[in-house]
Amino acid sequence: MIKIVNLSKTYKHGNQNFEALKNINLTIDDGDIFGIMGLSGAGKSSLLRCINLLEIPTSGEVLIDDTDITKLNGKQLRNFRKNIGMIFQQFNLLMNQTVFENVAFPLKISNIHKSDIEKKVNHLLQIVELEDKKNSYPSQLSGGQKQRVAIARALATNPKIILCDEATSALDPQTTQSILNLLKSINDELKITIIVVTHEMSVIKNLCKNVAVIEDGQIAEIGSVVEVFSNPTSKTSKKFSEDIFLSSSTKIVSYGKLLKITFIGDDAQKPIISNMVKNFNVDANIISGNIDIVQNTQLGSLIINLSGDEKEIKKAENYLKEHKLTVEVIENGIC
Amino acid sequence: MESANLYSYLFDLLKTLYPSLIETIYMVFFSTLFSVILGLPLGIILVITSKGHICENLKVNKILSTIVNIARSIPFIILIIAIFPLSRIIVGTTIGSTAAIVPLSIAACPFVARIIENALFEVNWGIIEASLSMGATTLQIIFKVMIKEAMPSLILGITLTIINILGYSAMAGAIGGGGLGDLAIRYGYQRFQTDVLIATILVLIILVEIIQYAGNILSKKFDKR
Repeated sequence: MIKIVNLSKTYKHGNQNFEALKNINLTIDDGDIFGIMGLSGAGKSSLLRCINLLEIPTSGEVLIDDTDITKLNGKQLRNFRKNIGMIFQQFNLLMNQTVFENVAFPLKISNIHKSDIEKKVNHLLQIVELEDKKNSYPSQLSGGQKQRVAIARALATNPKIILCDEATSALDPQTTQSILNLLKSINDELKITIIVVTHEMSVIKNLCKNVAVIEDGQIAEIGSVVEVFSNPTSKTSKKFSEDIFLSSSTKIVSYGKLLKITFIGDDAQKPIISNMVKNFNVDANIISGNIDIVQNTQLGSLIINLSGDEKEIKKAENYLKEHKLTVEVIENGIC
Repeated sequence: MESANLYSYLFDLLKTLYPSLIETIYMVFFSTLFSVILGLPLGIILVITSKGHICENLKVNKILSTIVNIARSIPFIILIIAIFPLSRIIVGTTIGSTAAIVPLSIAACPFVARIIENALFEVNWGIIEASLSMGATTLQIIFKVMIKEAMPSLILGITLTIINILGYSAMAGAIGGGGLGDLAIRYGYQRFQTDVLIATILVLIILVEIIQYAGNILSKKFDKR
């Protein structure tokens, strides 16, 4: 379990202080795939780097399995870091060494016997499906292959945690998907906790179980991915959820009342709107709608325009709320 | 000139040049070796103590950097004379190729430090950060990451150093260091034997070409980027 307690990070630029992280409290369970999302400059990468102390927090504790790693000395920290793998946006492979040597690197620096290294590296290359590229140099690989090498390298020391810093941001959507699948299977089969920093909705949507939204160095929202994106409250998550739902900010000429309805799971399959029109004397005009699968849960949004008698509209609205749908009234076409 | 005479003339010329060439190669080889031995750690320390690097220590960095700059601004000919006492302590004399190796090494050392500093700074910080995240020690990062990654640039930098030392060695020759520079001054300048002067320059040009060519090839061989 990873527990971050009252963590703050301040950067000094001459006389000016910049608070990158403010009083962060966070718990990540073993076996989780935890997303840290935010816009650029929000502090999400700093937070990730505090977990293996590449970034040293100004104050606060980072507890990993009850060890406060901020209290470790140099040697203890180096040994501890071997439990935490890390992959990067730019892959950060040794360019003048082969794929094999890259994956062997963390083992070599741990003084592991040569024959054991060979066995381990071959096994890892099998996991990431790159056995045939063993003697290639990184410059001869595609972006996705480079990231696979980086993942194999991160797995070499049998870590309990893997940190991913925008690991798919430099890849095309298809390659991203294959890397996400690989990470998912690693989490599934090896029970490794994965923490990903990203600004891509597709990563959160397809990979993460839980998510923390970082805004201005603070946690704006935290919870399961479905919870956060079915009812986004922060600026950032609202902006990201527009990737799932059609933007509601398009100006829609309105008469009557504009409603945005969000539905989760099985609700998405029930003919609630149809029933509403049958039961109340209102007309419903569907302006836009979308449905998406987030972490195996259906998540949909619908923008409808209700017209008719004001009382009937109110009743219809209540009917929707009774069915546990999130209903928002859009004013001036903006939700 | 008859052809038999031409051959014997060229043979004589080569016989004159040969010992000087060997002296030059001897001077340049050992001066490069010692200057790299001294300059490499200096260059490494300049990099790792710089701001934000793995052993940040701005005080040490500033002091070393200042020393390197001062050493580089002293004209070489002055440096040789200033170092005479040291040469005498180390090799027992101030005259000859062996004695010249002392000032040559010391003069080239700050140059080498800067060359190595530049090459090592080229190593992508992300790779160093990745190594840190894997629990690598400072020494492992220096030798297994930075130097290996910077190898092509290091080789080109050392090639540049060799050619520089070759130029300096001619100057050292002027005050009793021997070698091709000494030959050119004695025959070409003092005895007005222009042919020896030209032959010396030709040999130097060929030497520089060979060194640069070998450096380029070797650097490419190590470059897998």
